[in-house]
Amino acid sequence: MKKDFKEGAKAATPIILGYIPVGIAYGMMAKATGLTFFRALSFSLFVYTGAGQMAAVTMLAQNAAYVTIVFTVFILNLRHIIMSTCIMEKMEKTSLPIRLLLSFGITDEVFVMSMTDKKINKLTLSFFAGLALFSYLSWNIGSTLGFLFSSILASIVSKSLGVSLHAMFIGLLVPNTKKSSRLLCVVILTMVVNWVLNQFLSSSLSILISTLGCALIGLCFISKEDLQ
Amino acid sequence: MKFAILILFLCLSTYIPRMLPALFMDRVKVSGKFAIFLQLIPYTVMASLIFPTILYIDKNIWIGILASVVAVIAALKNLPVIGVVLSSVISCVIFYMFILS
Repeated sequence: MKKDFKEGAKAATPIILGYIPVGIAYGMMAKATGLTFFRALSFSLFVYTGAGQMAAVTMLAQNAAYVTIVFTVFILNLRHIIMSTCIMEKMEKTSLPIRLLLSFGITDEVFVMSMTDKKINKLTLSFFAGLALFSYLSWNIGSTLGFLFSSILASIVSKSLGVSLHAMFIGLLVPNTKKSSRLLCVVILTMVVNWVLNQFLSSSLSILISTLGCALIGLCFISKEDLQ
Repeated sequence: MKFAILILFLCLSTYIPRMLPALFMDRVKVSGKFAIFLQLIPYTVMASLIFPTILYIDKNIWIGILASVVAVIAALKNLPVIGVVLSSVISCVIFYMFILS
C-alpha cells in the first residue's frame, strides 16, 4: 500500500515538471488581470483545471457574465467524463466516498499516466492517490510561484518547460505504437481528425469528438494484442 | 460573496464530469468490445492532446516541431518518460538561447 503510493508519487515526476511551469504561467496571468492572490489561488485549489482556469480568468477580466464563464469551463472539462469512466472501471472495488474524493484529482495528465504506467499491472487506489496528490500540489505551488515572483521567473527555462507535458505524452505513446502498427494508425488518424476539426470547432470540443470517434473506428481493427 | 459563488459553480462544473463515473461505474459490467474501447481511449486522448496544440505552444512554430521531433527520437531510443521530457526541454532551452543571441 505504502509502496504503491510511493510509486504513484514517482510516476508524477514528469507531470510535476510540467505543472509547475504551466502553473507559473497561470499565476502570472492571473496577477496581470488584477486578481488578488487569494482569488487567483482559489481557482487552482477548487477548480483545478489548466485551460479552464486560464479561460475563466481571462473572461473575468473582460467582465463576462458568470453564467458564460461557468458554461465555458463546463464544456472544456466534459472530456473528463470519459477519462473518469476508464479510471473508475479499474477501481471498482474502492469504496464510494474514496472514489468521489479521488475523482477530483483527475486531469488529462494524471489520467494518461495512471493508464499507461508499466510498472503497475493493476491500477491501485494508493498508486492513483500518490499520482493525483503530487500533481495537485505541484499545480498549486506553480500557481503560487507565478503570482508571487512573476518577473523573476519569466525566463527561457520556464518557457522551455512549457513543452514538457507534450513531450511526456509522446514519451508514453511511442513505446506502444512501436509495437503495433495498427495502434499507430489509430494515433495518426486521431491527430489528423483533431487537426481538421480544430479548424471549425473549439479545441475542447474537437478533442472530445476525435477521442471518442477514433476510438470507435479503432474498434473495427484493433484487437487485445495491440494493447498489451 | 459573488466571487465565492462563482468559484463554487466553477468547482462544480469541473467536479461533476470527474465524479459522475465514480458514482455509477461499479454497477456496470465491462467486457468485450467496450473494454477494448475503454483501453483505446488513453491513446486517442494523448494523440488529440499532442496534435495540433504542440505547434501553437510558442509564437515560433519551430519550438513545437523541435520539441516533438526530439521527444519522438528520445522515446524511440527507449529512454524513460522523464528522459524524453528532459531532452525535449533542454533542446528548447538551447534553441531559445540560439535565436535570442
